[in-house]
Amino acid sequence: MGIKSKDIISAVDLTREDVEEILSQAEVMLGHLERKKRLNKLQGKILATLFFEPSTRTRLSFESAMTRLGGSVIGFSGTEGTSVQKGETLTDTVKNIEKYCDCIVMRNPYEGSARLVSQAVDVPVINGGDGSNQHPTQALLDLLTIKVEKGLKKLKVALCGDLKYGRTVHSLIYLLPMFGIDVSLVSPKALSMPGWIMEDIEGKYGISPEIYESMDDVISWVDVLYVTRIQKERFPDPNEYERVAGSYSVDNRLLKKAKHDMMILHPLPRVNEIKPEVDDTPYARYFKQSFYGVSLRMALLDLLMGTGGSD
Amino acid sequence: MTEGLKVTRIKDGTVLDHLPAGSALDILDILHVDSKHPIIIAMNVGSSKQGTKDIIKIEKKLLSKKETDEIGLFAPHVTINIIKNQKVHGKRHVKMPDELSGLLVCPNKKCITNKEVCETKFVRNGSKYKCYFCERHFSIDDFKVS
Repeated sequence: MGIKSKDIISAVDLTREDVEEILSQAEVMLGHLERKKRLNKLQGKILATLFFEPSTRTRLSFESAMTRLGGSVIGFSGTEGTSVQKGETLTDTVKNIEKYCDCIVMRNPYEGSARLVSQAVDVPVINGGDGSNQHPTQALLDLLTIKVEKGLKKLKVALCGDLKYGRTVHSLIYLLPMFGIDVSLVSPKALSMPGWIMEDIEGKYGISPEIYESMDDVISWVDVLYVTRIQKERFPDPNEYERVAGSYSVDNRLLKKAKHDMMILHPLPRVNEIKPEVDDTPYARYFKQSFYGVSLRMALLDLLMGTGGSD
Repeated sequence: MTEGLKVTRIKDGTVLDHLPAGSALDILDILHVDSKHPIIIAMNVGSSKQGTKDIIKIEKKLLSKKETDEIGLFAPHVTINIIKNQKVHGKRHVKMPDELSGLLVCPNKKCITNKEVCETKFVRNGSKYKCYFCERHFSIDDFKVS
């Protein structure tokens, strides 16, 4: 295994070489997945999925990936019935669970929780989302989708929606510039990308992403429109939410102005930000993106627990 | 009364001068001085340089580099004098430390370090500090001493 860390905690930790290795392995896995081939690479290994917050895609795609690799899964979704409800600390919980498994995937509402857990245990830890901070495996699968569908070249990608609290965009914004991809940001002012991330990106890559407030400003020239959900609870005034959410919605009217080969990605779940009428257009790739997520997670599990070889 | 406040000299130890007015008690928190060390504190005294200032004199204590750097965080214009036989024997200069462990509380309420009992850690990134756990960047004004 070549990736430097034993854990996948934050996109900030990953080097271009790490990302290339993960994506290359994910493409190998994608071939197996498309042929529905079940592998035995992780036979006898156990993955623990610890989801302190609800998750559909991340948890199930990790479980699917582990099963496809011949391994087994234990875990929980929600804290009901666990010792966390009795007041056990996170550190104590994971120190016990590491004795039952070979790798931990965790989602927790507290920011930095995955980093703390990675220090407490010896088994590899994968961050499945820590509050508004990071969701590195989602960003990696987003990048895999772009690579497979378009190739990693000089593309223009617009990150849209809730850029303040959205953990997927907080990860993705660190990976795109590694490959020379141009990033633009589209959000209401109240949900703009945090200043410290903008400063960090400028320090790391010497770039300052362009900022827009409307999808209309970018739709005619972007290659990838990355849409995220704007959550009602982020707005103290419900009228303001209705006004803002309406203007961040993708429909066929907006797409009339798009490049013919533009594609739309979304980490899902969506609510109203992409109209169902868009699903059947050639622009929509968000369900395919979910599929790529399984191969990406197969690659990660194999790199962290297995041999990382090509078959 | 027109004369300035007269603060007794110490024989051997450390004098922290030009501390921001009102900061002396917070600075003492950083130093964790115990009852072995006699301490003289003067607060809100006149200063030609900065209007008002605080002064701390600690008998029989030399500061470590870590303590010196940590004081510099909250008092960037501090003058640290090493005293031997009632005379200034040397001066220490402060600079922003590259790493701070266990000293500061993360201002991000959603940071795991505010939920679990664990040592905080901040890494310098230019003029700001990045929380090793939640990854947010903060300026010194955002912090309070733990």
